[in-house]
Amino acid sequence: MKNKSVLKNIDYVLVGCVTLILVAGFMALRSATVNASDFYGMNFVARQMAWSLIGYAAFFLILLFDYSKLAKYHVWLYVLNLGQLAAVLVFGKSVSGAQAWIPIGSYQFQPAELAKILMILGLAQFLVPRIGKLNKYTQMLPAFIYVGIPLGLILLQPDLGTGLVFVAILFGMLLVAGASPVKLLLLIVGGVGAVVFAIYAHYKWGLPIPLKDYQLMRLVVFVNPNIDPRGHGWNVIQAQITVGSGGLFGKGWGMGFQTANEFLPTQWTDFIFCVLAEEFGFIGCAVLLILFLVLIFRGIQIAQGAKDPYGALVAAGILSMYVFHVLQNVGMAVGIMPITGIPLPFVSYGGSSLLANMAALGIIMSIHIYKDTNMFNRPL
Amino acid sequence: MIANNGITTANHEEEIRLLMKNSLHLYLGAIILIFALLVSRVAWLQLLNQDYYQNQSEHQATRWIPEQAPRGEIVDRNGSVLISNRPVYNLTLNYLGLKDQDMEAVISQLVELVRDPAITEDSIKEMIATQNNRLFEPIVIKRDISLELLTQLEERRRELPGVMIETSPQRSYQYGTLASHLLGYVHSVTKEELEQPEYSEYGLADLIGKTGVEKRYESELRGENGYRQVEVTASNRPVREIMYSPSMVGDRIELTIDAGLQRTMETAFDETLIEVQEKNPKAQAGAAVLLDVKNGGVLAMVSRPDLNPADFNGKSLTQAQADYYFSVEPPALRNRAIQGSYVPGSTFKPITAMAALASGKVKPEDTVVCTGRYWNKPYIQCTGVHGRVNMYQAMAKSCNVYFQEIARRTGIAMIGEVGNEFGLSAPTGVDLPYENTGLLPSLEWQQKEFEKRAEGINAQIDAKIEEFNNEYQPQIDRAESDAERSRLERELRDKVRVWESERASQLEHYTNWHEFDTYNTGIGQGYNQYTVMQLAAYTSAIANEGLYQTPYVVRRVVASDGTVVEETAPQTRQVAVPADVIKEVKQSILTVTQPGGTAWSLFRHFPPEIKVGAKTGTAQPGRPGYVKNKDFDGVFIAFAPADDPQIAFAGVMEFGQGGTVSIGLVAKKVFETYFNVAPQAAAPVTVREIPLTDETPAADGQASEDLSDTPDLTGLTGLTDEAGTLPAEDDWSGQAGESGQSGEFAEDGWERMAGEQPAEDEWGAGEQTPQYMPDELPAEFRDPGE
Repeated sequence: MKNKSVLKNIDYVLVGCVTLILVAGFMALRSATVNASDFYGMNFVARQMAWSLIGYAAFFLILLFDYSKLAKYHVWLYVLNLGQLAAVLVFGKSVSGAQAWIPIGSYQFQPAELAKILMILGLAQFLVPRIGKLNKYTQMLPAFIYVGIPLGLILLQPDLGTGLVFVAILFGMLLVAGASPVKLLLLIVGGVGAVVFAIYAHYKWGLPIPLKDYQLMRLVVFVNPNIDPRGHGWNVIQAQITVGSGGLFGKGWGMGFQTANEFLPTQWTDFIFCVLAEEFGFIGCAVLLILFLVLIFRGIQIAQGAKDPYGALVAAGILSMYVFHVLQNVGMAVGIMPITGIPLPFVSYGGSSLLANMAALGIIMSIHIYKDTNMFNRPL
Repeated sequence: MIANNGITTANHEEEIRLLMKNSLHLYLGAIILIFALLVSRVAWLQLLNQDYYQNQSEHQATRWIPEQAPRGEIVDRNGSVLISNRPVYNLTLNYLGLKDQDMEAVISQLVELVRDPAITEDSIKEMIATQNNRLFEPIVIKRDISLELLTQLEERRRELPGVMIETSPQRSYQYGTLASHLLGYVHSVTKEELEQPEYSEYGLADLIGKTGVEKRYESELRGENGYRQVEVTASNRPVREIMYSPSMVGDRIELTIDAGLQRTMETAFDETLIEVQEKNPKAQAGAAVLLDVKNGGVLAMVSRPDLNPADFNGKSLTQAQADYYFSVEPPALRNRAIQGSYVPGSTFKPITAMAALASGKVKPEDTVVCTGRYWNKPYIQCTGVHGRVNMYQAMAKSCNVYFQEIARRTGIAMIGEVGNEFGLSAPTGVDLPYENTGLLPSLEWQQKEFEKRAEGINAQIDAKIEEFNNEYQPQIDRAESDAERSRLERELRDKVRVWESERASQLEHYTNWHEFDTYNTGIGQGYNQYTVMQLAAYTSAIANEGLYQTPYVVRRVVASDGTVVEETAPQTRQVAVPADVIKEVKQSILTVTQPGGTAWSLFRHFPPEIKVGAKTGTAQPGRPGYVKNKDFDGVFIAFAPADDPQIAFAGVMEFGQGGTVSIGLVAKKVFETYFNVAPQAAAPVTVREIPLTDETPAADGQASEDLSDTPDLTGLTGLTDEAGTLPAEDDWSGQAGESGQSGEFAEDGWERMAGEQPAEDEWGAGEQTPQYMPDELPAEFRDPGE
């Protein structure tokens, strides 16, 4: 395929959305790190911009290749994934209690980001022969096992957040692969119910649960942050105060009081949405969410236009990943999800995450560009 | 279900296409639902509840930061600043900032940095635990840290979350330890104190006056803390000041103390102690007070061993310091001028004399013949053989026989009344905390004391008898024969009878005033015990010829804007003793510093216009630590000039061995300084032999009649050779063993030493003034095991 036609076939709405989201991220980052940069002696925005450029490069590089060629290597992708996740457990560097980073030179490589993409690429091919044959739990079981093994390695780090993303990706892809939505919903409800019961039993009867104290407390303060307002409940309360005090129009760029005074720790990553919400208000939040929604919507269109079910499933996996990140990150900022350290795609500060998301976007674009030999080439 | 032919494959692909098309629609629907949920929640927070969250945001972002007010200055009567303030850096811990962090690591780093043996990980954790319900207040780890430590802490600020440096004013002692017992020290307020209403507005980080003027005038000195309302970040870093209400410095306290005189008195005291220690190494403690006779103001006040307020100044004491101040005899914390109760010895004799004259039973010119010991039981020995003496001569020589005899004639009731008039039965009311009272064995006191003792004796003996009853009654009940029974009953009766007679004898002994008690009291022994302040006030009242003034140490309290908040008006009262009686006794006291008097050696170089009235005392306290007939306290009272008295002195030097040779020297130096008299060139005590007959000031032999009714004067002959060469009362060094100089003890075989009281536990209810325990040991210094 010629580069010229490649450029012609790029979905510029998608690229435009992502670029706008990135810019919103830079602006939020600027506010969030006004004081922090004093401490670390670095410019977050400049670094994030640099990572964006690398991200764009990765995006263009990836969209040139036909994604469908990866399908036949799905076993190797799976093995590679397990290998890198095992490696981080062996060689990884422990940062704040989680063994999630492998130092490569001066760069901290975070295998969890790559793992999500590898998992999507592998699982999509794993599911292709099972499309339409996922109406019983027994039929879904192989997929659960397939995801369960890398998920187990992720939880060993431990990285509960990425683990949840894996589950979200699995459910999103199962849904698109034709699994019974009712049964999936039952599983979600059952899972949440089981967790709630386990915690209740833990406090009531001392049932042992495989959660660290801080993880348990996050779930507890999600229900009632005022149990420990200056401790575990602090982030929950401060996040809502920060968002809520933004009002309709926000306090203006760089005028966020809560932000400027760092009431939220890690506000340049986990709580970046609060920064936007405080300074740009409801209008800013709505615009950002709509940009995400447009991005997702275009992604779904691309999935529908994919040349094969593999492409559709890969797109669905990536979109599920984005959506869950948004749901989880924004959800915890506004108090409808418990606190987990999951970044907001394209917005939160962080090279690995940005690079992975841009690469994933490249895959989506590849699906779009190589739709010519499409089995769905008829319009929907 | 999987088709295996071409057509079905095509159908199958179509099937899959349709299926995925549907599922992608479903998928989109789910995502729209998720986004709708997010947007509506954001709208709920931002549109419906903006005011609430805005309010929360503003509220949490301001802090009220107290600014500690500097305590008021304390100045002497001439305006010299004795205590002021200097800013110090305090290392504090903000628990709220620390608790989500790795507390162990922070604390261990902090301990490593501070390098202070008193500050350990355990001690910090204990501080946190102590403050458990006031954790919002900063915990003061160390006050007044060095600049070096300050720099190190600032450099590692990020590694030490919750650690903060605060500046606060702290006491600065311009004259070091000068007048330290009077001024008192400051230390952290304790949890117990915070529970008291007067400290309700204090916080755990506050320092309060614990003793002396610092405590008594705490509310005046404290000032008003200021506040800053500051906008802060989540980590409490101040961003911007919203409001500032500056602190108000505490009131300035103007003392009656004269720093120069105070220094003279302290130096003299210390030098004399060293001198006396050569004779008796136990001499380490004592106290002296100098009063302004014109108004009762305290010009100087010394207590030894010394106290260094800088040792306490918000710091924790080292073990050695704690021992020095609290446990090792003599504990230094005690302000012996107002808290020590001392047997006055002969300094009490003016009271006896006034009582005798006031009773009308004795006239000054009446004489008593001293044969070296009193003729009534317990035949207390005199300081010498004085022959026929009238009141003037007896006062000059401190004749024990004379004063026992006039005490006998006067009776204890009158002595008690006069003592009471001169303020000896109650604390003086000086404006200092923890003042003790002495013990005046007045009738009133006797009644209470004896009742208490009787109760004790009865309880003890009732218990004994009860014991016998319990022992015998079952045996009697079980007795097998009448003979056996009556034998047992007889035994019980006998035992009970023995104890009943013991009861009678004990009650007779311990719950009655005996004649010998009167004799002992008359010469300042026996039950007598007074604080130095009481003695000073009484001396001043004699100097003033009956005008008793309540001593005070604070002249004025001046607010920071210069307005006088409080001015002490001298409180005076005329004692109910005839003026001529007081004048007469005052005159007799002047003989003590005349040739032949016991204090002549001290003031003989004073010009005639500065006539000093004085009375020496050598007391046998009979306290633990004192060897009978070997260890004596030196007591001294004095005033001058006699015609227009300006100052009055009273002091005690423990183990001083005599008034003239110890505490009298202190008085001498203070009087020299006050009246600007050149110091005596010769050694302090040069005259050891005073010819009695030649230099007795009052005319001898002019007594109208010989009132002594019984003495067999033949006994005198054996002693007459000595009469000419009597040692001065107080100059006993090296002669202690020769004859019973002290003379002031009972010899009735009952072995009760003068001044000694039955051990307290024997009675259970003895109202004895505690001798050496500080009244209120600050909690933070108490043995943790208590």
